[in-house]
Amino acid sequence: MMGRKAPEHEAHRGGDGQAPEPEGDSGLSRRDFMRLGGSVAAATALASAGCQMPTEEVVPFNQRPEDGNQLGRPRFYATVVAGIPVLTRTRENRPILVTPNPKHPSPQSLTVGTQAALLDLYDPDRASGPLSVRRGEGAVVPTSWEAVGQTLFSHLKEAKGDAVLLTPPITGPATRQVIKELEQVAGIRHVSYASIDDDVSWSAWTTAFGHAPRPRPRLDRASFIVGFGAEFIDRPAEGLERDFAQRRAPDAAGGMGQFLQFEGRLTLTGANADRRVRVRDSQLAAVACAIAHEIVVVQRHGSLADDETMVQALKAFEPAAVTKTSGVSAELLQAVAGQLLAAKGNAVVLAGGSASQGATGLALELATIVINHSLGAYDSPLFDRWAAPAPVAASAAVLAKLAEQLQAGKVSTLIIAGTNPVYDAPPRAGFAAAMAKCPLVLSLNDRVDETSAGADWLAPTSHPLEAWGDAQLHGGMVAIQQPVIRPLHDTYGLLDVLVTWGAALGIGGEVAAAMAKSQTPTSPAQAAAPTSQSAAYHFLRGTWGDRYLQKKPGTPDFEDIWSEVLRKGHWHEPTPEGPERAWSPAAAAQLGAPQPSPALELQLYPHFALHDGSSANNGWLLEMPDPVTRITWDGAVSIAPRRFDELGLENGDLVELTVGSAKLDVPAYRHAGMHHDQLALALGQGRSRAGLVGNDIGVNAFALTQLEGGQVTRAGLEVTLRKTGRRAPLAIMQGSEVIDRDRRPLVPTTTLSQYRANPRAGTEQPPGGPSAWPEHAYPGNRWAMAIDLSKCNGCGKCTLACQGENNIPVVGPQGIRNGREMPWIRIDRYYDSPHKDGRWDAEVWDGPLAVVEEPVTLFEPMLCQHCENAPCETVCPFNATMHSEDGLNQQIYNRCVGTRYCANNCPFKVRRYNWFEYSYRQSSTLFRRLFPVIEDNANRNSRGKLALKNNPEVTVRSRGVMEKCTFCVQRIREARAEALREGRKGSIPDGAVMPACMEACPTGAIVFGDINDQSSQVAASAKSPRAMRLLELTGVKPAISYLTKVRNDNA
Amino acid sequence: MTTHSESLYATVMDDSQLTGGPVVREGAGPYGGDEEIAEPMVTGGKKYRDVDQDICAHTEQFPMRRWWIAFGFALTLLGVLGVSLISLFYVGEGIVGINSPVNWGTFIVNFVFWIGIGHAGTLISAVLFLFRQKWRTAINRSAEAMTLFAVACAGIFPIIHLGRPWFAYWLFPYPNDRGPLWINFNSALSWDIFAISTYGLVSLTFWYVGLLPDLATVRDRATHPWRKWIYNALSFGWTGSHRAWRHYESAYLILAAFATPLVFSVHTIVSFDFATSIMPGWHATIFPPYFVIGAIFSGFAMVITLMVIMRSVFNLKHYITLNHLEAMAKVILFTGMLVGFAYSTEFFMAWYSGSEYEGFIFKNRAFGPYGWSYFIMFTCNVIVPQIFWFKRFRRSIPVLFVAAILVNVGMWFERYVIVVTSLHRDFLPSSWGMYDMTFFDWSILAGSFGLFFTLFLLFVRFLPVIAMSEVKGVMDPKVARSTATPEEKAA
Repeated sequence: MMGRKAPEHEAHRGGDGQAPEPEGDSGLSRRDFMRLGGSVAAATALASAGCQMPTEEVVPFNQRPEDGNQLGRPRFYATVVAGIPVLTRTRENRPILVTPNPKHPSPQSLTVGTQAALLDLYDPDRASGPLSVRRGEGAVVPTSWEAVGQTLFSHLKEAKGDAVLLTPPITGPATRQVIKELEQVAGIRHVSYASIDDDVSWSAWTTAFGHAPRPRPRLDRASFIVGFGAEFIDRPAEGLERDFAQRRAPDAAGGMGQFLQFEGRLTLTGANADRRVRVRDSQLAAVACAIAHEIVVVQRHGSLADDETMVQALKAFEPAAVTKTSGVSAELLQAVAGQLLAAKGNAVVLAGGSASQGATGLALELATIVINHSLGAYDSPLFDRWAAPAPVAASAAVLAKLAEQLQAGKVSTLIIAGTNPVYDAPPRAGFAAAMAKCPLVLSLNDRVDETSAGADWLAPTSHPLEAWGDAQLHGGMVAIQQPVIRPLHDTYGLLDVLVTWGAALGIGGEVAAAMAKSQTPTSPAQAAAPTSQSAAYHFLRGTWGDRYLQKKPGTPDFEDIWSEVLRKGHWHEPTPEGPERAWSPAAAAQLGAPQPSPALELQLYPHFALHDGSSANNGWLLEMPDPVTRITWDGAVSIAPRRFDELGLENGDLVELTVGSAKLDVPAYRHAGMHHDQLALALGQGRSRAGLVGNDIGVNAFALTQLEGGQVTRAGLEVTLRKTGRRAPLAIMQGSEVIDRDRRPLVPTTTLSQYRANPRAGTEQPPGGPSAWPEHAYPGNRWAMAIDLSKCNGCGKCTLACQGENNIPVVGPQGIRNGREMPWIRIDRYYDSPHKDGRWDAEVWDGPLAVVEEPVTLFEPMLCQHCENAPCETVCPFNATMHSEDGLNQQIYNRCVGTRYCANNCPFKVRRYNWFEYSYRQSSTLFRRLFPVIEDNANRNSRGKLALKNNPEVTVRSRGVMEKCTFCVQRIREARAEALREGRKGSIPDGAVMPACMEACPTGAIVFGDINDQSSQVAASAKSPRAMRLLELTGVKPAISYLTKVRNDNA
Repeated sequence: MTTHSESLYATVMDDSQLTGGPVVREGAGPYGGDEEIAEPMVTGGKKYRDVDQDICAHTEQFPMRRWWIAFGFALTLLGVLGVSLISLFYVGEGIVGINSPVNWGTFIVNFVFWIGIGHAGTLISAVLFLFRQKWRTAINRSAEAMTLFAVACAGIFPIIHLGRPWFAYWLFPYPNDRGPLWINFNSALSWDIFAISTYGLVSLTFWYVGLLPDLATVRDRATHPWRKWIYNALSFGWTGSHRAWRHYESAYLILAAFATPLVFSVHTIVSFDFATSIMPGWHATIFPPYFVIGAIFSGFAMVITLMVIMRSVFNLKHYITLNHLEAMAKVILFTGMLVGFAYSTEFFMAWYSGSEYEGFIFKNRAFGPYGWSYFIMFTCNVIVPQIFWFKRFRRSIPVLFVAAILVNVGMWFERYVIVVTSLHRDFLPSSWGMYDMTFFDWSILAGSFGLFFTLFLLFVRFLPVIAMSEVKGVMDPKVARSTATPEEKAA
């Protein structure tokens, strides 16, 4: 039970442990005791009619149990957050880190939003109990669950008109079942709405193939990938980026893959492409169709070549015609088509990015389906049968319809759970005004957000880490969402609420059975309040028993399987056989014809970290730099460099965007690689009621989304741009954009052909001189790291994992602007610049046009290099930083007095200094008034329950102290202690120590281990001809080797 | 011979009669050649008695209005320093402009600036003493006081720049209960502690020993018993006996010999803070001499600034004559050229080293975003002193005053250039940044001037600003001993 072991051994759920319980003196087993204790507590609580009552499932420690469940040791729970399987690391029963579950078979990977969900749990701006909001008056009065429930029930009984439950798309089978029963029994209509949805690509699929299951592409099997605005690295939930990375190394099994991307905005996905062709969003469909034309009509390839309607439809997309509108040369289109045909069986094309949300989005998605279909990709191993769950139609068009019904007074009750349409619906939908017409609006969101502010009641639901629930996963799996902590506030999970209210509204079956098990209602008043977590718990057990396990709860068979589901975090759902895939000839009509584009078009894309803005009060996400622009906090409109220079703009100059009648003032940003005629702006910002941290950060780009003919458009929007002459400085976490690698060989990179000629290509650098220092002896372990830049896609999940693991504070936008950022590991993003002979390169701050118009993007994770001859160690007068005998450059916070000499002398600038007191709120009222920064920092880092997020293994640093990456020394020491305890004398197996960054890295780019152990992976990587240790010239001898980023230049 | 010099000393009544060169009398030499007579150090036909009266008077009468105004102003600035430091200590260093990558800014710039100012005093009193430069006598006392106060100003910066200044005492190596944990003797910052504290202590001792005979003079003139008692205690009961004088002279000589190497060691070691690092722009072997020369340069400029004011406010024009000021102007010219030479050598070395990073940092210094500061530095330190090739300007009080202030501005910017431009763009372009001084950067700089002027104004109020005993030693006894004043003689 020590260190990171397989979750199988570690994931228990709360009280109902399955390990044999030792018999105590009382003769009562622990399990019995807990059961008894739980029911007594529940009964007591019921008698006192309290809402927050002790439950029988989550029992706090009173005595240390004798099994492995010890304080001071991390425990891991496999659960799901937002439909993504995760492993939650807890300490002392507090969740402290959300990591990927390495043993989970689902292909899905974590998004940064999932990682940062931990901070949402402790968010002090969550409502701490039910509130009577009294819309319009602005008064918020605490109330009780009973009051909310009773109001709802009596209203449902009396009011005439529909009752509507508005939620985000719900995938969990049990949750869906209770909603279905609510629809049938209580007549509550369910409407799904997501501001950022996948509807277009699904409707393209169904247009082409009817309701056949949609297979998932396997990028690890593709040697040639063509993306049309694909964003599988920007939006990684499906896990495509993990597969993609497997073929990025030059010596990958099956050869290095090649990725060609057509796109208008430089996305993270495009930045990882081997070749990138700038095509504005509105022309992507035409370009894809032109390639399809080459394959189907010219080369007469695939079954569609005989489909006359398709041939006719594609004839409109002759390369010459497409060249005219899109600017992509016919030669290139023909070459790409030729390359696809040559790589048939190994080639796949992808779309699915923000560009698909434009007017031509359906055509774009269809064109990629046509190409894949013609290449026979769907019948090859390039697509596997593991289908993504079919989504519920959830686009804002649904919301517009609901708004109409609200306006017409047809809806008498509106229950909103987990969505925020007042903030994120297209303005045309007019939702806010429509909602005001509804007699009873009940919000189940977690705070008084924009939508809840217009509700009558707010009954806050729990965080996913606090409540039972379930979810459907990709790859034919379902999973239980198990709570890892008792609710911090007077809240209940959505499923609890639905089951309790459902039972009260007369649903029988499992719902009633679950309620019967969880409580004995003594009065209608109590029935109106969710009883506890047990309602959802028993409901889940019952439903799952029926549906999947085919066993009744309580039988030993059931309990074994149930425990296994909780431990492993998944259950294979027998995949229903869908209808056979058959091409529908009607699809061809949807392709349209090449259209000229507006003079200037706008793309609104989901924010990389904040996504749709639902977690916009999360300091980690707000401070997470966009991987490409490196902008934190406030958003900016991306403008192509040449246009930007022609307009005479500076980063941060406010420009006015006009789309239709909507206007927005946004800071401008010179975004390398943008198509000249395209702008881009991130969604998910500009929340007005997110909380103290996230309010009024950036602008709400949803205000520019268009709703026409039942379709929401976020790309290809006609836009005009005007300088305002005002400024709003941006918080950009990056110095120079550009690196001149001939002069500063700091990022090893080369091309595949050069690599084949010389495996050391790209690692050349000036040699260092002899060292005056005696060599260190590393008698035992010597910890080292290798980072494969070919695999690193720059997503920055390492940064976020590190922030959680190591208690790194959030410094705020002004902190970033002032250069007080704190991340221990950051991703440096450079645009590779060719050598400019005879010119001096101090002006490359923003990058010369030639470099940034068609940028070659390089990502380089930068963290403490744990140098052998660390320059920081010699200069600290207090001996606060020193070398350990296992190769760590240690920082001793207690000794640090803060001369910052070490940070100056660090050539990598990875040392971080506590410029302010971030860890607690300083008490002086006078200074808090004089220096608002004190208050801001406290709000972001230590307000309310925020301090509970801290990892107890890692010191919380005070003001005036230097800090930096420790290689997660706490995990190293834990592994060493375990080795000693087990009598292994410091022999730690390779892979037993994983720093948080490595653990979070979806692509396996980071390898950590003992370099003295010749069999370790890191020793092998460090010996690779691709390995380069930075700044040899200075003689610092880093412990981190970077492996060259190889770009596949094969034509 | 004596008659000529006697008459010369007696008749040079003010600056306008001084030429800056020897007085040449054709055919008056002992062998018939020209006779060259040095111009007098003290003009106005002053007597020994006058020296006591002129110099002690300021300590004996109620201060004049101008002193009070200046003192009030200095105290206000000192208050600004206090408020700034309280804010700094409570809120943290986030309130000033330093950041990553410019982790050192205002504090270290001011530290090196003040340490540099603190160089001229000891150089004037010790080095010039050993070289028997008699003109030093008029200025050595106040120059040394300036040194002490500048060192005091400099001394606060390494402490306030710490993140946790309340642990500053950990910098001293003494047996402790923290392990015991010793300081890191590899770090140039720990060398600084020794260098600065030694320099401060030796300078103080040297200055104080030099003060003893003059304190006794003040005591002897004192009428109030308390005043007499205090100055007697301060003068260690100086008797003025031959024995006392003999011991005094030996001690002074020995202390001068002690202080002389320190003049060079302090700034050498301060320069090691930069030179022993690996940062391009800092990592340079030229730094020790470059810093020492720069320090002398700035120190002399500060002495000129102060002396020009002092001689006019306290009417000391007969003691601090134009000849003195011209001599200092020559030092400025010489050290200014050396500093200019160092600047160009840096560029040469950056190119000659072949290191991309070194080459970049110097180009960036001159032409990058902080090029303006390099321009100010270069103009003030290299171009402005060139006017001192012209005697007319060396002897013009307004020109001297303005040029000296410009040199001080330039030298402040030299440290700014070294600290800020080297740090703001180093090895990894991703971590490049900028440094903007905030209100508190400026208030602490201004406040340090407040501290300096407060101390200096107290000094001129309570202690003799010119070394009377030494000035008497360079006066012509034949003139000075005469009891009759020139007016009486004429009458």
